[in-house]
Amino acid sequence: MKIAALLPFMETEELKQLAFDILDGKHENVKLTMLFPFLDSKDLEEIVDLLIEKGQGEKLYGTLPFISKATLGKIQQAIKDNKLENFKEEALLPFLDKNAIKDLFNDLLKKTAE
Amino acid sequence: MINLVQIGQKIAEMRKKHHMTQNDLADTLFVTHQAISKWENGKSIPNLDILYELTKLFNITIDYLLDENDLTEAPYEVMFQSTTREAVINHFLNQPSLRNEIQKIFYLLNPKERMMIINQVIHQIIDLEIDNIWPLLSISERQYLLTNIITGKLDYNLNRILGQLTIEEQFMIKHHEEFGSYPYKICIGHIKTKGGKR
Repeated sequence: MKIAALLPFMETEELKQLAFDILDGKHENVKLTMLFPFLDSKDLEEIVDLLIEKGQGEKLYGTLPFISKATLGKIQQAIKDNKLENFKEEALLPFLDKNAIKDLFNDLLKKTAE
Repeated sequence: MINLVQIGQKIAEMRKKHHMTQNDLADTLFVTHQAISKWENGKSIPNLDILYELTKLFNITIDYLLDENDLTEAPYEVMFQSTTREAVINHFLNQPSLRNEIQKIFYLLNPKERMMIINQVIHQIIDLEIDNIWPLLSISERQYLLTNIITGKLDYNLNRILGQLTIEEQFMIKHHEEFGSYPYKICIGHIKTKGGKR
């Protein structure tokens, strides 16, 4: 049976374990993005932290609809710090308010001026 | 949350003012004309490097592009037309109280997004009760949610929405109550139980 069909019926802890197993490469046929709607916000935040730490920016796109403003801020900061080279920052822009985008823009201007 | 459609309109307006075609602008910025078309139609937004190039090329400020573009107070219908669906859903999930908001957005969601919200309610990830979403659900969504409740996945006393349940749904609950898989005593007066008791 496909794991995707079981996701709605799994417990929070089981989902968290599955997510970390996927991150460890134990379930190659299950996409991590399928789990995001089911994960507890704290667990999802832990996963975002880990993905940032590992520099796996390409796996962060699917988390964007479900994360808090604070966690979006962490991704924003990681981009500023050049920790997420394989994450396209324009994917983040629709989730930010205009002031946050202006901050990013002004940072870019400063870098350009240096 | 920014209005991608308005930003796109401003880019198109400036491009035309400078007598450029989409292909001209694409060549100048070293991007595809499809990318220009997506920006101008509000389907996506240029990255910061391109935004910087645009401000230089058209001699405008970032404020010109972004100001008066905040969607935060806009109705959800407008949000869905003006930015990405993912961004609107993120905006909804980050609201301080979802109980009033759910009624404003739920009917605008596609089946996959609706199921995502229902699953978040079942997993108690978001601060919504069954009472808040039950009147908004389709028949199949109600059956899915009800199955999760009567099989014990979600602890919820269905007496709270008893008046909103169909006769079939009430029978289904009564059946599970009799066989012990649903822990609450349902107060259904007119449905006879297996033993004929009221």
